[in-house]
Amino acid sequence: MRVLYDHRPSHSGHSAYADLVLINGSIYTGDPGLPWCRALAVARGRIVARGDRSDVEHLIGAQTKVTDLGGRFAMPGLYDMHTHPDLALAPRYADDLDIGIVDPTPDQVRDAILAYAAKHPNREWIYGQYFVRYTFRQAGLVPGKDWLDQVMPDRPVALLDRMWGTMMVNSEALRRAGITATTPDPANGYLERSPASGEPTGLLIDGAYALIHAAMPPTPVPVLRAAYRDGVRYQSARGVVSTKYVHVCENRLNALQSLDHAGELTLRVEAAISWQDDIFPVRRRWELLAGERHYYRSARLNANAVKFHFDGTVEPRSSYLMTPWDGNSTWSGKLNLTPEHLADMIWDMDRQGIRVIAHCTGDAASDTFLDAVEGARRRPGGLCVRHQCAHSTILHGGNLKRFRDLGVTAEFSPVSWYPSKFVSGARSGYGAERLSRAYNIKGVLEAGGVAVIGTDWPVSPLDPWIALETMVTRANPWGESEDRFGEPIALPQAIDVMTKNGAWSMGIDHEAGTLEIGKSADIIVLDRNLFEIEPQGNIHATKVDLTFVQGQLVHDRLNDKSEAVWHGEAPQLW
Amino acid sequence: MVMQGAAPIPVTVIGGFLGAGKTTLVNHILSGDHGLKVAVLVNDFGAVNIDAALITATEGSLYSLSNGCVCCGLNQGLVEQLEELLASRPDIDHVVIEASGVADPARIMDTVRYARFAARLRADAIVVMVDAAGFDDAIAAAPGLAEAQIGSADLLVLNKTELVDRTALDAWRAHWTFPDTRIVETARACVPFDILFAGQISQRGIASRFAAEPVHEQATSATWRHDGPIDLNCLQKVLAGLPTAIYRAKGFLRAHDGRRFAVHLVGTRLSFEPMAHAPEGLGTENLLVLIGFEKHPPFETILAQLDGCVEPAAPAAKGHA
Ligand SMILES: [Zn+2]
Repeated sequence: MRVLYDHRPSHSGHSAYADLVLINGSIYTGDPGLPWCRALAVARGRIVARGDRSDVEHLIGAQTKVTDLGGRFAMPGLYDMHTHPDLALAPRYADDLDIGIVDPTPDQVRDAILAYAAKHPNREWIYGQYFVRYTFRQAGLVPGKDWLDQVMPDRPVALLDRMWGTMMVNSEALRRAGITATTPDPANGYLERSPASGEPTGLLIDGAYALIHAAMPPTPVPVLRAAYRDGVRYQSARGVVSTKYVHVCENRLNALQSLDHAGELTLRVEAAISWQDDIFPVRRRWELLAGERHYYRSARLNANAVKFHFDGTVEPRSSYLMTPWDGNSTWSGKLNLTPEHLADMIWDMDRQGIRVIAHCTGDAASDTFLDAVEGARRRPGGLCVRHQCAHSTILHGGNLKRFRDLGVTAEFSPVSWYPSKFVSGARSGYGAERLSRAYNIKGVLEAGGVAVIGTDWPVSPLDPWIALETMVTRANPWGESEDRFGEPIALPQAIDVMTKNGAWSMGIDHEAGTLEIGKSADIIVLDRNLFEIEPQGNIHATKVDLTFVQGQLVHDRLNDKSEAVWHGEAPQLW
Repeated sequence: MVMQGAAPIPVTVIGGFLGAGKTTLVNHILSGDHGLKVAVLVNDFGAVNIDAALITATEGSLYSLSNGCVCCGLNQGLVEQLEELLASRPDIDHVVIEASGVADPARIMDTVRYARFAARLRADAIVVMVDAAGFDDAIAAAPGLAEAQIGSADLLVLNKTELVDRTALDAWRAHWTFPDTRIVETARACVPFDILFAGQISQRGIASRFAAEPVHEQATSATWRHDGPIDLNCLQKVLAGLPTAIYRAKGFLRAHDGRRFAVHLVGTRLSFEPMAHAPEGLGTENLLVLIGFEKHPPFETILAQLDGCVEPAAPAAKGHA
């Protein structure tokens, strides 16, 4: 177990020499006291000297690994403070049924189910995609349990339609899920029923899927492990040294811990336990929050956070706003939890040292969240945890300084809102006034608050460099749109947002985030100097040659003989 | 159980590609002489050409017209907008929702059928408009979507027939007609109101509507009456297997266990809506009106099949209208 071998008791003796020395670099430290240096020395994962070559020479011993950067640019590693690689990647490893035909006929659906069943005799459920209604109608057939029972009477089958709005299941699947004529419809979906008998027909709509998912085995740990492994490998290759995986359950934590033990968790992960079951069920939520989470704790992993959805999103107009969505209606969105629920929950989590990460897109959602944090700060026993307002899409001007006052992180998702035809159309729903104050990173920073970014994959790509470029340019990185949303910030500010601000939001700013003596050696070496290039069209294309986390070389793009954990280019994930 | 006097309001979803004629149909409904208070939720309010002189009141986003219709833009979540409409205008007879050109209208009807609207809204039909002249372009523009729209249609409206010749129309039908498809051919989206709204009976208009003559000259109808209790499963089979010449069926019936239902069939969509007791003035236990839109729907055969659904244990007087 890597995590146990690496630790050294505080009184054990150690070498007087550095483990690693970087020389001949153009190193941006992020430390205003010494913004630039040419050499760094690292011992036991921490920076022990910096300056010119002469400042580190005395630390080079026989065991010291000396890396000549050849003049290349280096800087602190990046912080992606909100993302979900498991959601995008786990389905690829689940080996579910995928019929793989654009318009499968009922006969092709049947053949695919039978072939899959024969190939997977030990799989309890046959689950996958997809069927299309119109080919059933073309054939004069009605999709549902009657048809599916003829194909597969004894093993449970659940098949989604192409639009992912309907799930077709057989009688065995209904039986295992306990669905009968007396099962009530969920609030956000329904069971299609025979008009005469009220018996479910085997077609389930929208929220009714959850009845079937609850009866199915959860995504297995090996599948999640493979998904996270790809995500981690990609992030390391793109220079990310710390991340927050926002939404986890017990299986996800087991997967992450298994990577950690194998030495493949090559960045710090703060995992936020789902407070709601809307994405996947968390069977051990209360045990985890009560203390079971500590069993996962290591130098790279912790689960001291919870995540919840406080309001909705722009497209269905479910963001919770201060004023109605438009002048013709009273609709201003709504909250998913009561403010009272939120107030008690934040206080209780704060007392346990658990960070609350709240999805808040509308200005009224973040306002209510900040109120609840303010209330918690006044109640006894709190630990002043740095809670996090996720997305912060529309903020009220009066709330900008409260991020500083209350010690709340304002997290933004620039990778999902750089200007493009799609984004311009979708976001126009906010209206001109609100759009003018959307994505207000600059406002939070000017008010003295801490802003961070999250890539929020699979909502937007996992690549953090798109975020760095678009914070500086507010323009489309590929020149595909003339639009510009909001106020740009300067490159050094944007680098702070993606490095030391991230460390602050994880509560590790005293030991990470900048390249200072005594801090963790989380260093990335790039193929270009960010301060010497035209930002638009160039920053996002940056290649990361080397990534060091806690002094360990985890990624090496150019030399596949090195001791790095990962070699070569970042894998193509989308 | 449905309360007397508060039958669910039928909902029609109009789908189809951009340019297929959805807005034309919406204008046809808003300016039409159908005698119903129809609430129309439109995607793009600006595209609807309401004569300002016809607007009698504006209340929030809701425009009231002199023929009793109301119209408003779809400007918030559909669930919330329907809630607002039901709260502010409980008197409306029918709701029409125009789906966007890139939407699968089935998804919109799915929302109408959520449990929260049970006993308040009833899915009447998904009407999908097809541009007879531009369908191939639609398929090319968004493969999968046009098929999905057709696949979810309870009634297909083949519109702009004036722009193509008969051979092309027949070729389209040969390719896209499913065994259960009902197609209405129109120029300028003039769908007969009998097809769109004939389901408009339940407890609201009651028996008087059964006497009303079909307004459209092509429509033919037959009425079945019987006093015996009905085997529901048998009836469901007969109604689900009706020939495609029958576009609508509506009526009331009493099952052998004493439960009563309002029956609605629109194209391929069949629903049995529970009722507390029989509406007054029917004069019979079971009544079903079948509406066809071809020259000779095989009414005699269907009426005989319906007779076969009466429980043999309870012989009763019967008669064909
Ligand atoms: Zn997210």
